[in-house]
Amino acid sequence: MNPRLTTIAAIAVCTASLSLSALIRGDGWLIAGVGAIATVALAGVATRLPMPRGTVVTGLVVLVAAAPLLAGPSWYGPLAALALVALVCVCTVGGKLPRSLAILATYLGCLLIYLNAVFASGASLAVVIPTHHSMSVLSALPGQAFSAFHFAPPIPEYKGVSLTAAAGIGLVATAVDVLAVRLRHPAIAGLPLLVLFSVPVASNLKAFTIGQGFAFAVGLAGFLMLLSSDGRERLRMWGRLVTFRYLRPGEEEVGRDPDTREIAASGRRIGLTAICLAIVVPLIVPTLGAHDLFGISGDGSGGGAGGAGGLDGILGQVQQKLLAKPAPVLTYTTTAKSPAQQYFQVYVLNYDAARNEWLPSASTLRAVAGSRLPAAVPGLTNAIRAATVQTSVVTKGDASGGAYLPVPYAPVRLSVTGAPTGWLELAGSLMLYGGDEPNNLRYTVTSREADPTAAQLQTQALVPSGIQADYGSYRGPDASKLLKIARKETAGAPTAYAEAVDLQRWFRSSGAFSYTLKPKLPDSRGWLLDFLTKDRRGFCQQFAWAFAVLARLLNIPAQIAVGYTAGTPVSNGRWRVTTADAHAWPELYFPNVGWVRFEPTPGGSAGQGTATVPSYAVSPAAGKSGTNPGAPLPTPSATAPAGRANRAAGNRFARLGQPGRGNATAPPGSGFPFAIVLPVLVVLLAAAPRAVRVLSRRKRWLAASGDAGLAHAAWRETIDDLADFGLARTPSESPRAFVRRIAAEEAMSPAASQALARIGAAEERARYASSAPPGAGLPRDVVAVRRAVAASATRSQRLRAWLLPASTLTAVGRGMQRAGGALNWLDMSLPSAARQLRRAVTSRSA
Amino acid sequence: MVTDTDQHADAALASPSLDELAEVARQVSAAVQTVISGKPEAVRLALTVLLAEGHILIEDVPGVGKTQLAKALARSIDCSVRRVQFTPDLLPSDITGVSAFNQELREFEFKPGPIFANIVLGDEINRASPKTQSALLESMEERQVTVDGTTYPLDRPFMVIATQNPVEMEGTYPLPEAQRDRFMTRISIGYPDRDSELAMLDSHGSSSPLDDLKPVAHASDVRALVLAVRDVHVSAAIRQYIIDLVNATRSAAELRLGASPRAALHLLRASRAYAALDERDFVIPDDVQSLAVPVLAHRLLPSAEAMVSRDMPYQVLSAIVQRLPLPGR
Repeated sequence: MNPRLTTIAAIAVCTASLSLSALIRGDGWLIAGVGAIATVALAGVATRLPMPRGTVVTGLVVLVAAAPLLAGPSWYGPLAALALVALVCVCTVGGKLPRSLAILATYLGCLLIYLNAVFASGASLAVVIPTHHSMSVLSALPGQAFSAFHFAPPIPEYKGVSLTAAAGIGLVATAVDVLAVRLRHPAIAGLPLLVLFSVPVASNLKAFTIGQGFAFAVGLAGFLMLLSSDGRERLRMWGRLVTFRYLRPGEEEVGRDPDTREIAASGRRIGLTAICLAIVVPLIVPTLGAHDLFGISGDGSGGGAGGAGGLDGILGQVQQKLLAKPAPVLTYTTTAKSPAQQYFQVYVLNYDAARNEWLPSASTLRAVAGSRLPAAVPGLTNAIRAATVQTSVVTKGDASGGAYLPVPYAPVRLSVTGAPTGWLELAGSLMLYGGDEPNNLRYTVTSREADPTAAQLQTQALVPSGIQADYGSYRGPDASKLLKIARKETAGAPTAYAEAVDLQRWFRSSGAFSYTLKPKLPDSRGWLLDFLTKDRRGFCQQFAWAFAVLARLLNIPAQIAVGYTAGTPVSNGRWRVTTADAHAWPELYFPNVGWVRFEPTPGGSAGQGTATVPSYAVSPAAGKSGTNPGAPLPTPSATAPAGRANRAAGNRFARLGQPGRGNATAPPGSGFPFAIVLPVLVVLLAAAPRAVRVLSRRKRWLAASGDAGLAHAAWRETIDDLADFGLARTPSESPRAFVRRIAAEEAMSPAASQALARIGAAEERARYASSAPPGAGLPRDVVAVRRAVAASATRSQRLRAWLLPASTLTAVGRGMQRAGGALNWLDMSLPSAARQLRRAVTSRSA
Repeated sequence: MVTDTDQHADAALASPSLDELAEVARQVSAAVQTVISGKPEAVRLALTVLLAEGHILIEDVPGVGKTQLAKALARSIDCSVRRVQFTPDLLPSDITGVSAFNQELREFEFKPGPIFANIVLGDEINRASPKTQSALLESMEERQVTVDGTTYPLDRPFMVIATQNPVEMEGTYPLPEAQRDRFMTRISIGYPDRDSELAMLDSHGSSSPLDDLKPVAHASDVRALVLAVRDVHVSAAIRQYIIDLVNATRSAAELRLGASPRAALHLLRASRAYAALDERDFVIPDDVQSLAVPVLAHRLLPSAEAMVSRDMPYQVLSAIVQRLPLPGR
């Protein structure tokens, strides 16, 4: 039992959990989490009960937790459950390892019973006893949470999210309870607490708010409380350290502690060094760029931020699906004219320069009421012909990416059989969020399928400034080199649309790029340039990324959609989509039309099998055409030869001085020349100690004036020289003692010994006598001593003395020490303040 | 840079007198060492205290030459020497002297006690009653004796060499801290090494070399030397160092009683004499470091923990000296 420490540990986890409030909306999860902490604390108390009672409690807990097995239909379920209970009970009286297993079982059992009671009480027996049904309810919830994690935080507080949060907090509480209360290592208990802190930092959280800072401070206070409480417990266990000491008059004996100033000073020095290292090391090591210390807003100007980026993110999931054995995702029937061209979008991603990654853009969620979807289709005006298409979908198995509905763009109405409400739509990207895993859902989507003409796509109208700002620029790595490539491949294209078509043709032209699901690309920021110039092998992930980036460099707003292609027809107008149809494709924004998709990924047998080029972008000549602007562009044959007149007439919106365009040619923060800067930095760093040594020597001799000054300069120079060769002087050593020691230790020539003795004697007189001796010959003596010591040193010692003079490094150490000592006043003021406070309290109570 | 000057250093440093001092000191030292062989450091410390106008407490086991050292020192200087054997029944007046009625002159006449000498040897001082001890210690500090309202100044040089046996402590009155503080140094002579002991058997076997000892200096020489020692320069850095050292003993966790301000003063004066014996007209940290244990150790009291871990004050002090940085760089 240790009620005090148990309580403090629980409070520390509670305060640390507050940091999750930046990630999850509402407070239900926090209440559930606090309950989990309390449960774990009680479980901890139970594990520390003396033998017969402890065994009974543990057995009961495991019995209740294993109840679903007991009530199972098969004959071996109850048997296994009873065996488990018996095993755990035996373990409680066993050795170290069995007992720790029993303890772990108690913690986990309690946590499971608690979570079951809170989140699946309806399906439980007598509210608390888990059943088969309640377990299946419980196990279905985390999936919902993991799909919600794709949102930009704070994510809505769904049941699954609350469960995951409470379970996570409960596990952390278990770790803290075991470490701090049972094993009495509260400092290590900081590690599980750190997990709670690191969740918001590691997530997609962009801005560090005051609220977060406050939450962090509160969490930290909880941890400190835990540490101090443990210290107090230790003192209580062992009694207080008593020192006999004569007290000065007026000094109180009460509350006088042992002198810990030295220890405190060491602690401060270690702390200061750790802080300095923590700040400096990530700054100078370019690959450790994950520090959001100075560039938290993530505008991409932070030099070393980001690695290979989002290859592991949502885009990475596409690769996993494509590599896996094909599994059915959905089947559908549609009224579309050409169903093969109808892709199903699940996610829409925007480029995050700070992370060099494509992420779902943070946008407002709108609840779907009725069948009509709340968000307007962005950019699409009535001037554009758009077919209304109805698609009836049945999802199977692991449809899409969790809780998002695969829908053809742009959805305007949705009716879900059996679950008409509870849907959310993300404004802007029109992603549809369902909360529950859309397994075996039946729904009908009505979408507006824009069918623009070439002229409509080549419009001179302005892109809305919001879209241009959010989607129209690229501030990632290698921007200028990529821009050159984009310009080269689209040379001669008169309009943004023509440029896009040219880019698409370049990517799909035979021989230029090849399709592979396992591209060999360097895992670095510069992979895109490698992909476009050297490797040229990839799949939809690389193609979509490259296309979108190049389009953005050409000032065309671009995003990446992730979902499925149209799949393959099966029978009776029914189409089937499998995981082999998972796909990512770029979408470009054109005024009045909105987002339209392009297809840079090669299709057919040598590419993404079911990928199709949309009709409006299908022809290699289409981009350079425009002579037949009135007609739609349904087939390649309908397009006319290129008309270069358009370009002469300046018929493109890109370079007309439109605000927000045309000035992104040299994005900042790109292509920082690490290859040059790093070696230079390394060389500079390596040369710094030597340079400082030479400079300090010169300065010392220049500043020396008078005989005493010369003597001091000669002495310090000699001290430094000898320190460089590993012959350091202790601070308590007088000049005479030091000279005597060096003369005894080092085999120096008589002349050098005499020179050293002269330097020592001069310093001694300069320091302690009333007059200093003449110092004219001292510089010569210093050189003589240095040469003598160097001559007797080994080669490696000489090299070290030359390259890394210890005297310079000690100066740095001294500076650190002084900086650490600057906090000495804390030692003085804190105890006296505490004493005064105590005195005030006692006098008041008296 | 050290530009500070001591108040005594403004006078032209009497180099001839320093040379002279060193010469006299050498002679005295050589003379004493004919009696006490193999202990030059103890002899040097005794001379240091003589020149610094302090008193010595020699604490050692019986028979190592405590009394011999005191006697040899006194003999080699042509000055008055008195010896007092301290016993429990010794009265204060046995030391200071008494006023006796002179029948012929019909008035009280002061009969000076053994304290009226240049060098007073107090043997086994811890055997006397505290009252008698304090009478001696008072005159040591004041350098005067007051009897029946009349004050009699003591002659100079005046040095008390007290001995104390740390082994047989039964029936003794160990000197309290306040009184130990009045001794400038406490030294222990220790057993001689093998060769010195052999030499001693040869020289002391037939007759005592003490009997052959002739004075090599006069009391007036010593007085001049004491004045010369006062002129030895002590820089501000050294004074700072002494204060640092004394303060360090006060804040050391292993000690429950640190060195007093008087200890600092004694250390300063002893350092001057020590430097002068080295023919130097200025004090260096080495002087202070060499004297730290003899001058300070007997004034310190170890803390309970230090007593348990058997850290003696002189060990603590040595550690402090090794650790304490010199002022300046």
